Amino acid sequence: MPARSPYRDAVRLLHILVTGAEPLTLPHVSGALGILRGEVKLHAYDFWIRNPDYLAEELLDLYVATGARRYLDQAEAILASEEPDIRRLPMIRFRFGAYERLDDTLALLKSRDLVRVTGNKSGVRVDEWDFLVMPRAYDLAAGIEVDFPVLSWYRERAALVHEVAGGRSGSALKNRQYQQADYAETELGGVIPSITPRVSARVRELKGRSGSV
Amino acid sequence: MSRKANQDWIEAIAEKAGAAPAEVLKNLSARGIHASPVAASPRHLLIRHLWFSGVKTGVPDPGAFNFDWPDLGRGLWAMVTDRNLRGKSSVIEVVKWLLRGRPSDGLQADVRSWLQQCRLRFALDNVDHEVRLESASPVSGRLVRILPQEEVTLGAFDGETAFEEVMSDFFLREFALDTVARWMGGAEDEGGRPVLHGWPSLSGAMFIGTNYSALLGDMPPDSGMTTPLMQMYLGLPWVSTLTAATTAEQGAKRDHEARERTRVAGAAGRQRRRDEIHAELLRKRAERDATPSDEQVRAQIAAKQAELGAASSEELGLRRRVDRAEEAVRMAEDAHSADRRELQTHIDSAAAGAVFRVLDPSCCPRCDTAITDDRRKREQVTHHCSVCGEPMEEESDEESIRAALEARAKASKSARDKASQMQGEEQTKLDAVQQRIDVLRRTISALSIRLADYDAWRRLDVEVAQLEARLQEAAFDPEPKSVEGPVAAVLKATVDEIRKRVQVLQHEILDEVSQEIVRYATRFGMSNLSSAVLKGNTHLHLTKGGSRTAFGKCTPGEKLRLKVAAVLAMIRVAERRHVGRHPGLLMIDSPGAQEVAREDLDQLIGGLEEVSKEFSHLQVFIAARSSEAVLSHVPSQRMRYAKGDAFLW
Repeated sequence: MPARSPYRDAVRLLHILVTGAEPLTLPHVSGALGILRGEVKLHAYDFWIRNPDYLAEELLDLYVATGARRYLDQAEAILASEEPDIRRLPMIRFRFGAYERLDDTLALLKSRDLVRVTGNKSGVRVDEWDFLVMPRAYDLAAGIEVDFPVLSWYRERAALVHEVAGGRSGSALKNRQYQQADYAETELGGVIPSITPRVSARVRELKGRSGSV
Repeated sequence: MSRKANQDWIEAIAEKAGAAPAEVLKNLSARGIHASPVAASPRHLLIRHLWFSGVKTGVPDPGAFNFDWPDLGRGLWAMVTDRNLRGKSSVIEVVKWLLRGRPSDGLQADVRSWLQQCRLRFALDNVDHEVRLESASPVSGRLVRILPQEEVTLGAFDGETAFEEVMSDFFLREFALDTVARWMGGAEDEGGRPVLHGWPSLSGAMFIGTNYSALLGDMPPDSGMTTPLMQMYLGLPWVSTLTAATTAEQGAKRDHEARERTRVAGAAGRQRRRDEIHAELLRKRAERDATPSDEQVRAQIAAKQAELGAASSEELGLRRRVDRAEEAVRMAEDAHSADRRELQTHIDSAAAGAVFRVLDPSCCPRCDTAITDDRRKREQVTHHCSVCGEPMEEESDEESIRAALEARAKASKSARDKASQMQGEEQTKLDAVQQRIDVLRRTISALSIRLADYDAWRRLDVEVAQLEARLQEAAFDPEPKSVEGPVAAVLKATVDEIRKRVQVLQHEILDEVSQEIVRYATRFGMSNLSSAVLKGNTHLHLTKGGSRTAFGKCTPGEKLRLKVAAVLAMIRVAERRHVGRHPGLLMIDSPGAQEVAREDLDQLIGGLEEVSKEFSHLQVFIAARSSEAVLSHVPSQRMRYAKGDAFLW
């Protein structure tokens, strides 16, 4: 397992938040411009970015469901660029989905006042955390794009995941991911395995079928 | 002398045939061929008294008849009628019958049926004998010898066969004649057979009928009897031996020919059969050889299975190597992936670090307390974190780390490529072996199916063996080429030897006989006949009016006179040399009116009357129609004459 890099994780989360947040139509007291609701959604987005093979499979499902050729092309491109190998950041299965504590990474973002975490409390316990995306976050994401092209992959990938998520709620996405067989079969606490061979085969099959049509 | 001659004979033949004398003797005895070196001395037959009686029926003058002609002696005797069909020939036929014991075809059936009793008294060298038929139909009677004081019954007979046997036996013995066997017709398988000529045939030399085809006797020339008759009556020594040997040789030759024909036909059939079997054998052999044998197929399968075994263990080894190569590829792949991931992480992290390092914290992420300017300045001086106060690390050398990581990724890539290439190579070898195994399996499977064809091969092999046996069997010749063998050689040597002996004497005698024939024929009116040459084969060559001709080409009248002349010549020469067998009796039947010219007959009768006086022993009977010549030359007491329409009896 490669060494962790908190800054890289921070860049990834930054892009998820900037891309996945709903714009706030009314001015917020904090000055935040967007909001991403729920930690589950954050984890769901993060899962697809960290596991390109699972994202490719979801793209194939979308292709099958919609017939939109670009999903198939995108899935094929992901596999061709060996992303599942190179970009993969394995996650542990916990309860009903992939999970990793993001506190440290979020702290990096919070300390730079890029995001603020707020909770909807019912009584004393916080039921759900929302993430307020500050104006500086948008500026930083745009600046990274200009100054550090090597990191543009994170922005592009966050955008693709956002598109794939298609406005589905965090729990809907989590359930969707959970349905994916290998994911489901992973023991609690186990590393979620790669499904690259299966997805590659499926790409070839679908391409062959579309080619023959 | 006989013994010596006999011995010489056997030895001469043995030498010629290249056989042992004992073997020659055995072979000749077995075929009834005996020495006959002694010339026959003539015995004389004289008819003394003819009597026969009976009852005529179915004719214009029916009733009892009684013909009695006693006191007959030497010289010329005649039966004369003014008209034809008045019983002349029948008198001769009755005599013939009584002497032979067998009626000839000339004895008419109605005459025969009328006869009741007949007697013929004859003298044999002055000893009287008498044939008495007490009954003519059926025949019964006796032959008696009449001595001065008594009669001796030499033979009694009851029936035709017994009558003939008695007469044959008597005369053959008295005249020292041998029966003559002649081969008639072709080979045995063509209906040929030996015919035994006994007394009835031999006695033919005494009768001249109306058939003039043969010079001697009353048998046709193709009976082959003319020459034996001549030789027999010339009385030449060795003649009976020659006749027997010739017949035996002919029989043996015909037998041999028949066997050869049978053998050749059989051999040809067998050859055809052999050819057929051989052709069939070649066909089956080719078919069998084209069908693989069980052994061949099994050997092929065994060889292929050995190959398969070797290939299978090769496959096993290769599969292990491929597995190891795949494992190596996988490991190299993993290492390379890890290296690239690490490189990517490093690149991302370096960039991300640069991003965040320029962003000073504005608050504590834990408590959200704002970072004061004081703290920021202190951090710049002390290089201690403005948030937590911990010392901050110097920026590491991002570039050198990146270069190291890139080198690692490159190295792991080359390792992966190499492993992948090796795996490819091993896989190629494995594929080749597996393809070979596949081919071998299919070959073995195909060969196993051909094992099922083994039955066909076995069947063909058995058929070939059977055909070979049949060919061998067909090649066996049950009848090896018939060789004429020692017996044929002995018979041929015998015939050669005896013919030589006969011919020496025969030549002289025939010369004499030929001269006598000319003399008598001339006396009988053939004045233009200048020479005659009688050959050993009874062919009579003539010079007549300066032209050369032969007996067969003469007119009937000439033939008749030549026949009579020939018999008289033989008798004459025999008398002169005291050799011969002719009994001195000659009976000449009347020739048909149209066949023989009246003058010829008259000349013959005139000549006969004169020449008969020259012979010490000759009795001639002639049946003729009345003529001036007959009536003038034959005294009336020597004649039975039926005048006008009268019958002789």
